[in-house]
Amino acid sequence: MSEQTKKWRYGVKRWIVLALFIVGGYAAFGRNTMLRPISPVVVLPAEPISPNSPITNTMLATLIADVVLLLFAFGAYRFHKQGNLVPNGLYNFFETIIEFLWNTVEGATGKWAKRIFPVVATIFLLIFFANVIKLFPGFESIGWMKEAHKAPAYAPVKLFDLGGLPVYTIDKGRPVEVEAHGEEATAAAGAESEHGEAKTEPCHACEVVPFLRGSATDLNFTIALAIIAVVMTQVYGVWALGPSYFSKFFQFGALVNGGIFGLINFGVGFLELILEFAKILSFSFRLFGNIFAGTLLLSIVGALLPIVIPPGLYLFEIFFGIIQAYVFFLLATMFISMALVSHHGDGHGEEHH
Amino acid sequence: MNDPVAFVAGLKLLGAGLAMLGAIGAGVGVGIAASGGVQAMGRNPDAANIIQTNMILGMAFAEAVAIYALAVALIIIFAA
Amino acid sequence: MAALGINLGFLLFQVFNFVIVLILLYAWAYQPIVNGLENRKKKIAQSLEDARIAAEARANAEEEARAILTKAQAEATEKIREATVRAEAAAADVKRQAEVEAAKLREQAIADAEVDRERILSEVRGQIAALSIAATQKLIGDALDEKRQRALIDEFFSGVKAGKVTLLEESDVHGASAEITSALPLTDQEKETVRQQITTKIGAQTVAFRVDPNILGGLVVKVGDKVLDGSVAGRLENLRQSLS
Repeated sequence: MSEQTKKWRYGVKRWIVLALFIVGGYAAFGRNTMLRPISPVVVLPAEPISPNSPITNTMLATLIADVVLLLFAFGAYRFHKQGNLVPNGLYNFFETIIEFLWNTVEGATGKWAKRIFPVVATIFLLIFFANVIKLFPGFESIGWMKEAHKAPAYAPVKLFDLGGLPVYTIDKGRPVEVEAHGEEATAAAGAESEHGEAKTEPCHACEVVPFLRGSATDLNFTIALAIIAVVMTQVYGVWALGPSYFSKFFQFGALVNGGIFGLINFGVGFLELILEFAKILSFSFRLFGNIFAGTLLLSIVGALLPIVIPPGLYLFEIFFGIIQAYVFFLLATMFISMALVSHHGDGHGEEHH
Repeated sequence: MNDPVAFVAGLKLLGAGLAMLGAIGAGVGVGIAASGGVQAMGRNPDAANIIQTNMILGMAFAEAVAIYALAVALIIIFAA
Repeated sequence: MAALGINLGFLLFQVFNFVIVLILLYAWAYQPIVNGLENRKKKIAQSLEDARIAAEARANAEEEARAILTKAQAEATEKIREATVRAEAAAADVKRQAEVEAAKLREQAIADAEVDRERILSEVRGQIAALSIAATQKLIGDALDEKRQRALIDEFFSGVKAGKVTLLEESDVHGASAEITSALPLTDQEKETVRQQITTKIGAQTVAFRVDPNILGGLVVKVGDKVLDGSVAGRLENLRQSLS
């Protein structure tokens, strides 16, 4: 009986997928030009969520990721307060992630794991949730309309009123020439506006500024995490080794009694110092580059061939979001565990497992 | 040639694209790291965990080169 | 920097955001979950330990059971052996008893036969006496005093003359025990006489009486390894030897 039901469901799912392909094909190549996908706007800095707002769309996305993450954490907390040893459902998933991270950190740093774990695990969870949340529909497509300064821009079309607020989309079939001379730009797909109350039309030639944009497509987010990781590496190094931690950067001892090799070692120490700053760069640009490139890839491929391919790319993006979070976490853990042991490997080496 | 602004903009894009050539080395390096990691795991599946960790570390360092190239390209396009 | 979107205010916002999330996660997730993990690990270790102890106990119990079984088997074997031995002993006992019984019965039978014979011979003795008296009367033709005649015959049979055992008058053997053989059973009175005589003359403490018709008459007294032959058969033999 259950076997039959399963087969029946499978059949229905197949038809739903096929129907979605057909709808996608109609939207992309059909006569209704409003639904036609367009090439994305490549904007590096985060944009404000409304004109002259101090809050940017990446900040808002980060806050949403925070809220979801904290909901999970609070659920797990309540679950543990009940004294249950075996969790269920989504909390089990959350716990599995934390257990995996804990095992990795414990394997890398041993008895320091309890002090290091909160920082690196928060890095992982924040990046992980930000990257996964960013893939939900609505991100980078719903926003307010702005007068475009670059070509080509599109004319606005009123769709319907949402509780007194008129909702617009841009008509992709009607490119509008921008008055100001433009270099190159486009507007995102399927836009709404809450801006049209005073004027009948928000803009003449419009582009969409989304309310939500993936946190990791903003360099502020990635650089903040990178700075935290690198600074915490130094903090843990000093915590474990005391002031002698800095001797690995300034090897005056080697310079005084090391001869020519002492000079080389002194130079290497300076290189290490530069490497610490390079870490910030590589941490932040690795995450930013991967996620920003993923977003661009999704929207460009979505504009070129909106059917069949994007679902696979979405799966790919989920995978990359997790991998990048894991790489950031793993590198931070490794750097910290390297900072915990003495540079000369005398005496403190045993702490490292 | 008649519009120096457009010429400079075009050269910027060209320079950014050339900067991204650095990604070639990173790609080769990541591929070699993955190949070596998978071979090592095939030879010694018991050590898969530690090999995987080190492989990802090595890949991250190799990728760092591509990231520097990306940073340079972005700076050329947007900041220079 | 501004072209790349890097802004100190946004950067600080992200840092603060991270710190707040870190603190909340530490309170809500890391501490309870990591402690829970450790508790779970401990519990699993405890369970494994318990299972190990239980397995050990079971192994011990099995060992004990095997020991008990072995012991029981040994005991059973021992019991069977004991029972066999006892049965054999009982069988031997029964056999021995039966043998003893049989021997007793045989002895009884022999004794009974003896008694019977003696009784028959005693009965015969009177008849013989009467017959011999009659024959003598026929032969001699003169009737002797019947009383005297009877005494003679008694003497002939018992070897006892006028209250004395003639045989013992002329001998001087001594012994602890004596066996008296007569041709016909002696009367009680004669037996008493003979025993008295033997006791006084020989000093024998025990006197046994036997009946053997082959000696024809008189008495044969056997003391230790000495034989006093006062029998008619013995005298006839002596006569025969001296005649030839």
